[in-house]
Amino acid sequence: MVDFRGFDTMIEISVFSMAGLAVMTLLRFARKKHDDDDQSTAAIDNLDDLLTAAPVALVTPSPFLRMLAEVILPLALLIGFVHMTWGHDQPGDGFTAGVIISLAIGFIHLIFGPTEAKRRLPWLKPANCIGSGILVVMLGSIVPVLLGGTFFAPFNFGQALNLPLPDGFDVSTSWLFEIAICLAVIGSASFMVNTFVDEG
Amino acid sequence: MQLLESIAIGVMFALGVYQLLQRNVIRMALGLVITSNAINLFLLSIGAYNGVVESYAKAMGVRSDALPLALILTAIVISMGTLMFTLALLRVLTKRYATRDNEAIAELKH
Repeated sequence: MVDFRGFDTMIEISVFSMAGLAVMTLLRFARKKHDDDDQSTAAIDNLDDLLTAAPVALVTPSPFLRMLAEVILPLALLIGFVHMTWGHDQPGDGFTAGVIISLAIGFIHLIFGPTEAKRRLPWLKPANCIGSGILVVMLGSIVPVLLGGTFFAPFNFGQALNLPLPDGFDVSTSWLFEIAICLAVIGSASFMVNTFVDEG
Repeated sequence: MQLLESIAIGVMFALGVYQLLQRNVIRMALGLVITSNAINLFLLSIGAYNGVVESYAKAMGVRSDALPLALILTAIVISMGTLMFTLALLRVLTKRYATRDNEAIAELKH
């Protein structure tokens, strides 16, 4: 899919990352700025304390759901990796991988609540994810130019260096591109999830 | 099939535009979603199924056009971002003004 959708996808993930950043900014700073002239602030603040202390649903989730939340992230990472690697000329791509993984992240946020989720996912830095994703997209699209191709031309490192790789697994610029899309999507989606769960 | 498809898309579009013109901001957000889905379906109906085999298949035969699918994929992503932003806006608006009426929040001074 990525072969003829390069530019498209690059702009698309930029827009998506913008949306994630905008949601975060809007919700965080609008509340900070206007807290003073809001009459119902006290009540809402109490509710917010309640929400940050307890899981989002205000009911303790059943053990089954908690168990599911424990195991769902590795599974989602696995499915995402398969989508990224073999989705290149099959259905599925970096975006679906990102969405699958961020669904798992959202599930964890919903079940455990924002504070516990932050404790469980200390490696999740949405801003870094977005930044590195877009950076890798840019670099990955420039590398073929340096190697004597056109902008966004796919370049297969695995073939060029004769790496022993399993069938269908290409280490190429399109693979890098998929990973970058996935990173950017995870970043902006977890920004959205974070702020929506945080703000109640 | 084509007739059914066009009728369905038309109904969805009408519903979406009707909801967009409501005074309730939540209905407006729903209208946005329905309209964008109707547009996606329209793009799908303009030629995603023209071929005999899938566009990514290596099998012989007339391949279907991959362009509508690619367009829709992009459109879905963008509309997802837009929807998130709209929801955040709604959240801020309803929290500050404690209303969902379009007219009551018409004077956005700050």
